[in-house]
Amino acid sequence: MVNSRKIDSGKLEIKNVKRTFVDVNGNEIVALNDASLTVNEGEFVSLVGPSGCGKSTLLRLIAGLDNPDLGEVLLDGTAILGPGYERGLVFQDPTLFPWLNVKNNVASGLIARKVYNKKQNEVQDYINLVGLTGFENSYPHQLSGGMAQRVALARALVNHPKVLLLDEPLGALDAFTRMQMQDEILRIWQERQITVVLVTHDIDEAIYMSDRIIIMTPRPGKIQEIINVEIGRPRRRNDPDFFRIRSKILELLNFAKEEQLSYYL
Amino acid sequence: MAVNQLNYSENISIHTNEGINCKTRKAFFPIIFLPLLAFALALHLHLTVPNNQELSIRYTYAAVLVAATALYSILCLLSLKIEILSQKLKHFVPLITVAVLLVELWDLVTLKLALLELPYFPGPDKVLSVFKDDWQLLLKSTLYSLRLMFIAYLIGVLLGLVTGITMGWSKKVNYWVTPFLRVIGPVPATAWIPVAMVVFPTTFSASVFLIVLAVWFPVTVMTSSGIANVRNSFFEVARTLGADKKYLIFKVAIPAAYPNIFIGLFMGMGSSFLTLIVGEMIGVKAGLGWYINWAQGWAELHKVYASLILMAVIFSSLLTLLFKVKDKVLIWQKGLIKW
Ligand SMILES: Nc1ncnc2c1ncn2[C@@H]1O[C@H](COP(=O)(O)OP(=O)(O)O)[C@@H](O)[C@H]1O
Ligand SMILES: [Mg+2]
Repeated sequence: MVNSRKIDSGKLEIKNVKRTFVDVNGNEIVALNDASLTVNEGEFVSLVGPSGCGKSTLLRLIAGLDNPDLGEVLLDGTAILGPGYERGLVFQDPTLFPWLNVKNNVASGLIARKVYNKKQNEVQDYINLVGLTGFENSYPHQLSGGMAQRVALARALVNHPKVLLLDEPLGALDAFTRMQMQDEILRIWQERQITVVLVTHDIDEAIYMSDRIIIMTPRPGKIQEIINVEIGRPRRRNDPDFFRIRSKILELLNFAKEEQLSYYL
Repeated sequence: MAVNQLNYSENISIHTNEGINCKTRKAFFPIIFLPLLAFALALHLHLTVPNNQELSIRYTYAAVLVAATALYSILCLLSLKIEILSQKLKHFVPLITVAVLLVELWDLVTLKLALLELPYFPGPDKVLSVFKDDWQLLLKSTLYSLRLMFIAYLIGVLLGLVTGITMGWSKKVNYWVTPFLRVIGPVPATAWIPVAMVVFPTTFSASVFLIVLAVWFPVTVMTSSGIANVRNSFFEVARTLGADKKYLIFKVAIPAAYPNIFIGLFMGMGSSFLTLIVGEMIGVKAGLGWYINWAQGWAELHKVYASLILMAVIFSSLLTLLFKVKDKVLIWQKGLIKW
């Protein structure tokens, strides 16, 4: 019932966005400069780049937790002015509410939106979906990192967001749990046709999961290059095309580093 | 090969564990009789050693010893059936034994050997007899103190929570209340006694005010700092989930601040005990504080000791109750302060 219609996807337009911060010494940091990007309905896009290149900043702008200095961010043609449940967010730190058990953590979005009475049966659906059946009454401190991240995912999904924003969600997990969760996220993405923006520092993860990979470079943070991953799904992690795309990305990032060096010299 | 060796050593450790288990199980039986021996020794000394401080005994202490022995024996019998009880008992065996011996030592140095003199150092028999002779007044005083304490603590907590939450949430409220809190807060509530006596129409309302003040300060400080220190990412996540301001306050900020709030409630309870007793000693004409003061005035130190024991039991129970509530509410949290 949950996945019967393709309603859970939205189109994101990021237009000439600039965001600057002031650091502790009073210096201006251009976290994002003139970033433009369109993410189509149901598309899976990854942001890749060295730390400090503005990936989280971009994601926070889409989430509405921060506002751009210049430019605008649109969802289905409407400007994003603040956070909203149609854009679900999962951080690297699961940030579960420690005072709520798994069930209530997953339900918190429904409760916050005052639709819990109508939709409470979906809570269990999503707990099952992320494979945590039987852990409904556990508290966050009793969960492993991977389990906690599954709860965070279920908590974001229960609201039926059009866009799922993932900021290095698997970064803290061990390799096996990470691969397993990559497959689960892909499965959910395909079932729900949800639009996904994934920030990752794992190039293989980006290639395995995304339709397009956005390569970003720092100082000032900007979008350097966009790579289409033209490998059919379901993908195999040892597909020869992987290595081709991988070396292309590495080249781009290395190239970026050299440019950055000369920039400083 | 390596695997075999591992298994082998595991087997050894299992055997030694069993050995230890057997030993403790055997050792349990003599240990559980230690308190009974202590009770018997105390009773024997109390009844046979001649009295020196006073000529006669009231048999109250003796009766308490007998009752305690009976109670302990019943618990021992029950613990044969109930595993948890037997573990609890085992834990308390050394404490009970030493406590009984210490009380008997008290009996020896006062009543029996008169190393400490009356009226300042009555023996356990004389002190315990107060509960028999003066129970009506003690009960009345206790109820009076509890009523005052309950009303004032509740008001203080409510005011503290409201002030603390609005301070933690609103910068404006924080700006205006902080100086007030900084200046008034650190002054011990008891210092206000003279003012309260003048300003309030009855001694009862005056002491309510003092206790409210004593409770309000720590509860406010801990609540507001607790809320101000809630991780911002909790709010951010809640907002992306569609939370409104009400949800952010009541379903995120306050629960996240519970551990701090409970420290405030704990500190507030401590200072309310102090203010209650001091307030009753000075102004109010009833209650345990008044009872102590009144008994001291008549040089009836045994009554002072009796009410001290009563106070220890009551206050300790109230704190235990608070921590039981804390354990229920903060089931998600490990640690905090232990009681
Ligand atoms: N709130 C902030 N205040 C000051 N500087 C910030 C803030 N947020 C981000 N920055 C700076 O902006 C740059 C980009 O940060 P971020 O988007 O977190 O990078 P990434 O996620 O790609 O590692 C960094 O140099 C970071 O220090
Ligand atoms: Mg980041």
